[in-house]
Amino acid sequence: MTSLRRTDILSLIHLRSDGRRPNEIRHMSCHLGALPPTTDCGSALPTSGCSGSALVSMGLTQVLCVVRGPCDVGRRSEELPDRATLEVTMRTTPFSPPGDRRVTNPSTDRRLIEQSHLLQTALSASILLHLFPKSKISVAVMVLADDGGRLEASINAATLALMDAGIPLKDMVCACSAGRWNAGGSDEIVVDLNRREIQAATGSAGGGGGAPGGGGTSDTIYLPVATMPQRGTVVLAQCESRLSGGAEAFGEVLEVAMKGCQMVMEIMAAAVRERGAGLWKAKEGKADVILVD
Amino acid sequence: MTSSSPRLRHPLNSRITPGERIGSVLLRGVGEKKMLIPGKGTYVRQGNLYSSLLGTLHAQEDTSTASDTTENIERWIISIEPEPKKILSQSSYSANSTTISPKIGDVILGRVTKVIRPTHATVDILAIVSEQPSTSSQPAMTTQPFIQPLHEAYSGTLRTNEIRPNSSLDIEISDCVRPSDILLARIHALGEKDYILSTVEAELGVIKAICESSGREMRAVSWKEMECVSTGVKEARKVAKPRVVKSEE
Repeated sequence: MTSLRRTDILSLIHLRSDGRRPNEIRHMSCHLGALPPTTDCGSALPTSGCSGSALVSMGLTQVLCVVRGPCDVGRRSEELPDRATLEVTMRTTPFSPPGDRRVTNPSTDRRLIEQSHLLQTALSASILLHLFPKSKISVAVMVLADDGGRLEASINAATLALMDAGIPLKDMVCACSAGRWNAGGSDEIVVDLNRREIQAATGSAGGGGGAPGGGGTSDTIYLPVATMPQRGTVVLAQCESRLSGGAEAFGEVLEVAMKGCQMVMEIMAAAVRERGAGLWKAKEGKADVILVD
Repeated sequence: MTSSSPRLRHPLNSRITPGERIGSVLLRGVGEKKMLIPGKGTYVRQGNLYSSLLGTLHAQEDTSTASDTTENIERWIISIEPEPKKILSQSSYSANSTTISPKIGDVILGRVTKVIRPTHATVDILAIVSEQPSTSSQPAMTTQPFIQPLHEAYSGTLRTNEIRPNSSLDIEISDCVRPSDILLARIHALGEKDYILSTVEAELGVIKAICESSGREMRAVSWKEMECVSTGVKEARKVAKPRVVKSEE
């Protein structure tokens, strides 16, 4: 036998490749109002007309979200008579994906289109869109660094940016993923997967009927989930793998992901409160205003 | 009627995030009833009041509606005040400029963006021009600024038959306005999407224009012509009659 790799040692003591326990999410940090609000809608900068923004990092994945609006709809065909139009664009930076360094075009890249659509669906479940008929709320997400789970990070960032913009929400939408794969001979359900784990979870399942990479016939799942934790509603659950275990196997993973969402919500709420406390102190003249960080 | 504020799930002036439950709509205490009315930043779902904004919790007793029922039900308006954002933003964002929007009858300042030849021109509405206080009836000058810039440009349409007083169909629109002209117009009607503008009054029309050949500013020489200050080229416009701007006493 060859010498043990680091990952093998970690899996022997039931730790994941980055040293987390199965039920631990990555280190998460939230920063509301990462960009100053601007009123100038005319300039070509992506931040122009920004009314709220947030920077969220989950592990090594970092996402910046900018919310504009509610403002005038540019084209009449997009206008809705009874509610606001929610426009979501997701972009990547040339330095964000670890593998290839191409700039992906958000209007043609199929993965980005799909993820912006998912993001749009998840957010429209929470935003009180009927309060702003005939107007538009646009959410622009920029993936600054991608270590897996950019959809989850984008949802969390979008929620915080919408809160920063003062757009009424039914509840905070929090997203977290869960997955299951065969590691070291036993099935393991883990929360908040990173890139390497996503590849392990989807690589064998998403191979289009190819031979399972991990060996054995285990169900491997990667399941990003978005919930409104305070009312216990699932707004997004995206599963692309084929399950032989049926609904039970899915339910187990979903439950773990929902627990992850709950953790994410606590972190987000704490970050929001902390920032607000500072703001109120500043208003009363008890603290200095620090613009960024 | 002295009363204590209702007992909610969160203390007053505490920080609330969207989706948090604030309390039941009908609170029954010892010998008293309190009713919660959703105010700004809140909504009611299944008999409970939830927040929808990020901000601080406020409660105010609603005394406007007299309780006509025999039972004493105190009515409290619960609202979430968004956090003070202006502390962080150091831009020249003024709160009142976001609230004003053009109304029918207002005189506006706009820039022509497009001239679509036989029929109409599109105009970006940039600011609202407050009407002059009438000469004698109101001696006290209003404190409103003369020109109120808008938070963002609204779009308007100027149709050919609303340019000159004697509306005839054979007006050539490019002899009245051209792109990048600054004009005064009155909001005539609300269109399907934008504002319909009109410049039929003598005091409305183009007030500033750039010469096509030299790029210099032009000066009005008559009610229908403007002249370039350097080259002397004359271009046709629907020129606004100069307004008498009264200085404040």
